[in-house]
Amino acid sequence: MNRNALAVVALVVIVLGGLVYFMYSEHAHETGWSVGPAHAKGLVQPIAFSHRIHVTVRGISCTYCHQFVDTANVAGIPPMETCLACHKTLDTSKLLGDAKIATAAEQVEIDKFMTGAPGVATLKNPDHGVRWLRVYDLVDHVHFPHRVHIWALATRAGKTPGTTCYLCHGDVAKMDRVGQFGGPYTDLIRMGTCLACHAKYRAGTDCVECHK
Amino acid sequence: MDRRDFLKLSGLTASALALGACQDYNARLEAYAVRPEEIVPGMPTYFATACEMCPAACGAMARVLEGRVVKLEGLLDHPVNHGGLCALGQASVQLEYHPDRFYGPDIRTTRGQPGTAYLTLKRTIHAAFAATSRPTKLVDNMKVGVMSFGKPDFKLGDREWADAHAQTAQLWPAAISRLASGLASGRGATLILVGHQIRGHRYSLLARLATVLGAPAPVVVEPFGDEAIRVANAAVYGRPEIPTYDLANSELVILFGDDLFTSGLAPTHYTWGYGAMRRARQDIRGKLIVVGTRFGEAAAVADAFIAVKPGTHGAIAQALLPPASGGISPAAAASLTGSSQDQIEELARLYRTLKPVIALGGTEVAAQTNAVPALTAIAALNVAAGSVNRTGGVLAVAPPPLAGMAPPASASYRVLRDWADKMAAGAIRSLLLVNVDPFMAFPEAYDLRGAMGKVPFIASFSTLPDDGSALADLILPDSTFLERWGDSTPAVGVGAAVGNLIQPPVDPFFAARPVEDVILAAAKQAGHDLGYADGEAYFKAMWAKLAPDISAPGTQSPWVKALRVGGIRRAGNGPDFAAHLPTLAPPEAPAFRGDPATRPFHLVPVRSSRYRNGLGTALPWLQEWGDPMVTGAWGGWVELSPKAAAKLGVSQYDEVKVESDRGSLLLGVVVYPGLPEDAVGIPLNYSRIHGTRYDSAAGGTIWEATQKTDPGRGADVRALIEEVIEPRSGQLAWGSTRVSVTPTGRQVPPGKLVLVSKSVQPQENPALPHAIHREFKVWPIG
Repeated sequence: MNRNALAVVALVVIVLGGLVYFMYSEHAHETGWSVGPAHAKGLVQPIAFSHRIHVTVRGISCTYCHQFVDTANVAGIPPMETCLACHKTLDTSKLLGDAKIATAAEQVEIDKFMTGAPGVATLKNPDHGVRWLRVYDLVDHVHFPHRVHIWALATRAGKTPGTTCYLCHGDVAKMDRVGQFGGPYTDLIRMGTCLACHAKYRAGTDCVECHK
Repeated sequence: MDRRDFLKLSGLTASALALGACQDYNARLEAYAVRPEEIVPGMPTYFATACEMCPAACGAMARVLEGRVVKLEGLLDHPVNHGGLCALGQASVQLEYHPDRFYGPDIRTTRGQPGTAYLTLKRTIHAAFAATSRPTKLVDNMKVGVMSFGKPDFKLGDREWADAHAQTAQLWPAAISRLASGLASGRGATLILVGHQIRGHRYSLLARLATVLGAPAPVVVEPFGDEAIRVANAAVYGRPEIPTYDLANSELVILFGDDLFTSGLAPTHYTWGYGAMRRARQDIRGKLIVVGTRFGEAAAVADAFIAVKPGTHGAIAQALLPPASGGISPAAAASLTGSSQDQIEELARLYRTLKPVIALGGTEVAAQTNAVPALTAIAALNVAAGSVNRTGGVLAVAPPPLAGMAPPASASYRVLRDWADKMAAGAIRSLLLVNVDPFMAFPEAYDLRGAMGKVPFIASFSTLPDDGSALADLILPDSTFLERWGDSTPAVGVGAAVGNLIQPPVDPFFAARPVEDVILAAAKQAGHDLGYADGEAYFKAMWAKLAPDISAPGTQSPWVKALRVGGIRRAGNGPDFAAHLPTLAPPEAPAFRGDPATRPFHLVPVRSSRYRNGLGTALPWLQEWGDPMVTGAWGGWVELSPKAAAKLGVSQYDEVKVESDRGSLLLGVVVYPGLPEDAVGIPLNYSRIHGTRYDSAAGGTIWEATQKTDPGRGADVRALIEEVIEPRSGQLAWGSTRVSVTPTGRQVPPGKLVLVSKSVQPQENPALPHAIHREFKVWPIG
C-alpha cells in the first residue's frame, strides 16, 4: 500500500472512530450527543416488557403502573406486586389458545417473571425486583419534578393529567422497546427542548428554574 | 515522529476510543418486589431523632429518600439547638456512607492486621457493589447503589449480596463468641472506655455489664475535657455541673477564652443564645466581650477583644471583683496580663452597670496549670453580680426526664492515666473501647501504645478505623446513630429537661450492629443474661418506665409522640444553686514546660468549629471546609503573628519545624495576626496515625511528609504537648508547653497546605491586624 492510500485509510479510521465515539460513548451519552442504543432502537431489557401490549392492546393506563407521576418528583417504577396483581390471577399459558392473551414469544418473557430468571423476581422468591435498564436519566444538576409538569400542563395548557406523557416520552403506547424516540418536542431530551416548552407555556426560563 | 507514525498512532487511538465506547453505559433501576408503604419515590420521609456527633445532644431531623438518609437538619423548637445544626452534624451523613467504615466484624489473629474472614467479606462486598450496576449516586468515592430496604443486613437476593450476607451471618456469631470469651477471661479486670456517643441508657447498659463482671464502671473519655470547669463550678455554685447560661436574656456576656461557638459542650445552643441576645429583644442589644489569647471565632463577632498573655485570664476576672473577695486593681491586672489598664477599667464599668451579666470561662482557661483558681474567679463574677439563679444569668441544670439518662461525668486525664498505668502493669486483662479512640485524649508524651500492648484482649466497637481500633484483637463495628436506637441528654444546662429519643431512620448500610445487641448477646454467652433480647427491646423497656404515659396504645400514644418529636422535653431549670462568693487568693501564675531561652513560643492548641476535639476529622466535608479564621483546609498548620514571622524570616506556605522538649512537627506557616508575638497556634487533633483515608498520615494529608521524617512520632499537635496535669482537677494542662520554631528553608509541598482564602495575610488585609490584638479601635463601647 502506498503512502497516500495509507494516509487516506488512517484518516477514514480517525473520522469514523471519532464519529462512533461521539455517537455511542458514555461521554457522549452524558453530554447529550449520543444517538446510541438507548435512542436508536430502544433498550433490551431483562424482560421484554411491551408497553404496546399493555397500553394499546390491554388498555392499561400509564398511571396504573407509574402511579406517582402526578404526586411525586419521579414517576416511579412499578414494584413486582403491581405486575402480580394481574399475572397472579391470569394464567396466560392456559389462555394462550382462544383468548390470545399472549403469543408464545410473549409467554417466554412472562415465564421469566413468573418462574425465575437471573436478576428477575419470581413468585417464590420476591426478595428483589427486576433490574431495568434506565432509559431517561437527566444529569444530576438538573431538577425535573414530574408532578409540577403534569399539573402545569393541566392548568396552563388544559391538558388532562395522565395524557401528557407523550410530550416528552413520545408515543410509548406503540413501543415494544422503549427508547428516546422523541415526541412532538423531543428528538432527544436536551436543554433546548426544555426551554422551548417553557417558552411556549410561559414557564420560567431562569437558570435556577431547572438547575440545582 | 514522522507523518506515517503520526497517522498510525492516530488511527490506533481512534480505534481504541471506538472500542472503548462498546460498553453498557446505561444506569439501572431496580424495582421493588413489594414497595414499602411509607416510601413514595422521589419524596422524602422525615424522622425526628438526635445528633450524636458530639455531646451537645442536638435534636435532628433526618431526611430519608427511598431508604437512604440524605440530609440532617436541626429540630425546630428543640431546647438545645432551636433548629440549628452545626457543621459536624451536617456532615454526619458522610459517616453513614464513609468508604472506610468497617464492613463487618473482624476477628484478628495479629493486632493491626485484618483477619482473613474480614478480608474475604470486604472483597465480596466490593464485588457485590461492582455487580450492582452502575452506581446511581456517588458520595465521595463510595458507590451508593444498594440498599437493604427494611430487611436486616444484605438480603437483596443477588448472588453477590447473598454471599456477603452468608459471610456476615457466619462472622457475627463467631465475633460475639470471641467477645464472650474475652469478657469471661477478663471478668473483674475488665476496663470499659466509652466515648461521647455512649450516653443515656447506652451507658447504663454498659454499667450493668461492668457490675455483673465485677469490673469498674465504664470510664468516659473526653479529649481535653471540662473537669477543671466542673471543679471550679462546684466550689462556687455548689454543684459540679456546667449550668444553663441564659445568654438570650443577658445584657453583657464576658467570655474568657474564645470558644463559645467552637469547642464548648453545646456550641449550637450558645450560638442560638448569642443570636437571641443580640437581636431578639426590641430595645436591648446585649454586648459580648472576649478575654483571650488567640483571636478566634467568638472574638470575631464580639464588641471588644481584650488580649491577654497565655494563662492570665483569671487576673482580669479578679480585677472586676471587690477587694474583700480577693479582687485586684486594674493596674495590677494590666501588669500581669499585658493588656491596657484603660480596657480593664472600661470592662469593670460595664460589669457594674449592665445587668444581668454572665461571665463564663472556656477551655483556653482550662488548658492551663492555674485553671481551677482562674475559673473559680470567673464563676465568682456571676455571684458578685447577682446573676446566679436569675433570668439572664446562671441557672441550674434541669434533671433528665428519666434518671437512667443522666449524662455520665467524663474522667479527668489523671484518672485516665491511672488506668493506663494499670494497663502497663498488666492489671487489665480485657479492654473494651466503645466508640472511643483513647489516643485522642493522651499527649504522645505518654506511651499509651505500650500500655495497651500489655492488655491480653482488646475489643473495639469503633465505626471507623482509628488508632485505638488498630490495636484491637476484635472489631465489632457499631451502627451509626442513624441506624440504631438510643437516647441522650445534653451535657450542659439548656433551660429544659431534655430526653432525646434516637430512632433508626435507615437500615444498617454495612454489616454493623448496635453495641447493645452485641453486648447483650455476648454477656448471655458469658453467663450473664442482662434480660433483653436486643437493643431495641432494651430501649423500649427503658422508655416504658415513663408509664403510664408511654404505654398508652394508638397512634397518639406518648411513645408514638416521642418518636414523632424526637423525645421528651419539659421546660424549666433545676433546683436553685446555693452559691457563695469565695475569697480568692492572689492570681496564680501559670507554669510552662520548656526553657524560654530555647523554646521562646507558647504553644496554643486551637480548637475550631470544624474538628472541635478531633471528632470530625474523618469526614471530608469538614476537612474541605476552610477554618473560619485562617481559612486553612485539609490538615494542620502553624499560626505565627506577623511580627514573629518577620523575625523568623518566614512567610505564608514556608515550612518550619516546631519543636518542644517532647517532639517535633514539620508544618506550613500561616501568618495570622490574631496571636501574641510569643505564641504559635496549631489546630488540635486533626490527624491520626491509623485513621481513615481523610485523617491519617497514610491517607496522604500534609502529615505524610512528617511521618517520613519522624516515623512513629505521630503527626498531630499531641506530639508536642507536655504531660502537665492541673493539680486540683486532674485535667491535662494542654496549653502549658513552650516550643521553638525553626525555618527549614523550604516551602511546604504543593497542595499540602490549603488556604481557601489568602486574605488573612496582613499585607492583603491591612485593617485586620489593627482591629485585633492589643489595638482596640472599637473601644470604648456602649
